[in-house]
Amino acid sequence: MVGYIVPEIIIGAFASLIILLNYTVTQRKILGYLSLLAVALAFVSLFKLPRMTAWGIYAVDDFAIVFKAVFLTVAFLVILSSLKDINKREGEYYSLLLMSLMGMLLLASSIDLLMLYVALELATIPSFILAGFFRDKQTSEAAMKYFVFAVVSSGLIVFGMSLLYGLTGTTNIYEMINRLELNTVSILASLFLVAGFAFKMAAFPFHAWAPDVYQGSPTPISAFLSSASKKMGFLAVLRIFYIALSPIANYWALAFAILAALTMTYGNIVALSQTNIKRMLAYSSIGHAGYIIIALALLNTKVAIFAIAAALLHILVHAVMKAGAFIAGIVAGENIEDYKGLSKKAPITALMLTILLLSLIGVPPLAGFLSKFYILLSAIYAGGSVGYVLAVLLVVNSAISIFYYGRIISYMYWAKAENETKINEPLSVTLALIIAVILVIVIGLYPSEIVNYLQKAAESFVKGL
Amino acid sequence: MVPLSSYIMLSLILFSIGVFGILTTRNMIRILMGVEILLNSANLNFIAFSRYMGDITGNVFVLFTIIIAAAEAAVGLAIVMMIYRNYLTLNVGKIKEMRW
Repeated sequence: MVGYIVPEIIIGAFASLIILLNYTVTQRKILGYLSLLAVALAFVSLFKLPRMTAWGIYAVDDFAIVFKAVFLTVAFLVILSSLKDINKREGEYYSLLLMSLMGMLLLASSIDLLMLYVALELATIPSFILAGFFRDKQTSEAAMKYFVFAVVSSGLIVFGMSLLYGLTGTTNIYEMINRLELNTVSILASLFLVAGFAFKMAAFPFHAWAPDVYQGSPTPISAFLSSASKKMGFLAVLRIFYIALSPIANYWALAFAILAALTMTYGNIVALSQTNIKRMLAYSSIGHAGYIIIALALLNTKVAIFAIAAALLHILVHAVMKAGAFIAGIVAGENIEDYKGLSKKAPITALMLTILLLSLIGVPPLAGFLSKFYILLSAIYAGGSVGYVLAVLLVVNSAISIFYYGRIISYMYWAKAENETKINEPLSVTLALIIAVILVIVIGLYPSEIVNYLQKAAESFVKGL
Repeated sequence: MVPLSSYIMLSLILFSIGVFGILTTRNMIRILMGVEILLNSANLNFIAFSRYMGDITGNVFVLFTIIIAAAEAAVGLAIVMMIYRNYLTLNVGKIKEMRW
């Protein structure tokens, strides 16, 4: 009877269990393995989920399944890489992580503004605590910046939602389509929502928090924030804007086109001058957000379904690549100097990081090339001045990104390190990296099934269940 | 009866006050207060719409928003405590370990 909510129940139950065990178990290492088990179980249960809508606020469609799979994969990699990094207060850490994950899973299925808002906050509030987990100067600053920006953005989002509710008299996303009309207030509401979700997506000019937060947080949490938390913004935008706000699509699509152009250019150019790897990855993550927003800007054209499929593919691929790249930093360190001669110091990590960075650049046949190529294709198919300008910018920005990714690769393989003592490569971190690399290679080599499924997911989401 | 537009104007004014407060103040506690005003302006909107349309959903939404705002304030104050212990100030302008 409650078949549709099984993954969330598993994750929620384990989150509660872990916080209880925290005070009774002496061997706290086991808590990490328990949370890995929870995520794995939830992932398996995804395959058996019935497709249905419940109470008019919760829908399990293929679109939601794709996002749940992305969130669970990222959470698995993050927990695996935390096993080594988190040595105290494990119970708090893993249970907060799972609670945040539960919010994300609920968000993936929300088709009602109320449900969507509550799920968004359930996913966000635990991550404030996680961002400041070590309670030292750096992490507390990260937590503060993340908190201020996130609550302001949710204020903007709620205000936009209240206007939408006033205009349509409903909070159900699929019922709104027929009741929404083009007028000043509906455009105002969409602007509030664009601004609010642009904060969540870290799009220029609402990006200011991202580099500081990713740099200051514990490294596994940086991976979690940039790969999972950030994707919530895209998810909510696709649901709200493409479905509920479709009557005024021409207005917000233009806003997204401008955001996309600014975001990718800014992110890639500023990334060039960074000397801290986490900060550089944060800016590159802003750049990649820009690539995904290109697809959002094409939602009012005839290629909308193709653009959604391309966005889903890039969201999936970018989540895996970026999580892997952050996780490699656990072994290698934060400063770019640490990466000199890494191929001697930590050969496996260096190799894996190289593959992930090549994928982030977009080198065929890796997955990063494929997903970028699909976004480029959708921009070209859409045509018009917007489509062509965005396509050109995408190519130019990919070229720029070669410099800063390539610099790390050249440091790892060709620069001389001052001391070439081996760094210990923990098994759990290496395993997480290997999983990320395998996913990147497999998606790159055998894309047809995944792309077909994503296409189906995009269609299912447009029709509604 | 007070017309609906008055409520909307009031909530827009509240919203602007909240944003203005967040942007201009340097004190972390005041920023938290600005955030509360921001969320409450949206609540006012929901209640006004709900009353004028005779629809209960808006009221339910407000209940959830209040609870979430309380949770956010709890975590926010904890972060304020943490900041104060590390930096011995709540001036956000002075908290800048990270700059590029």
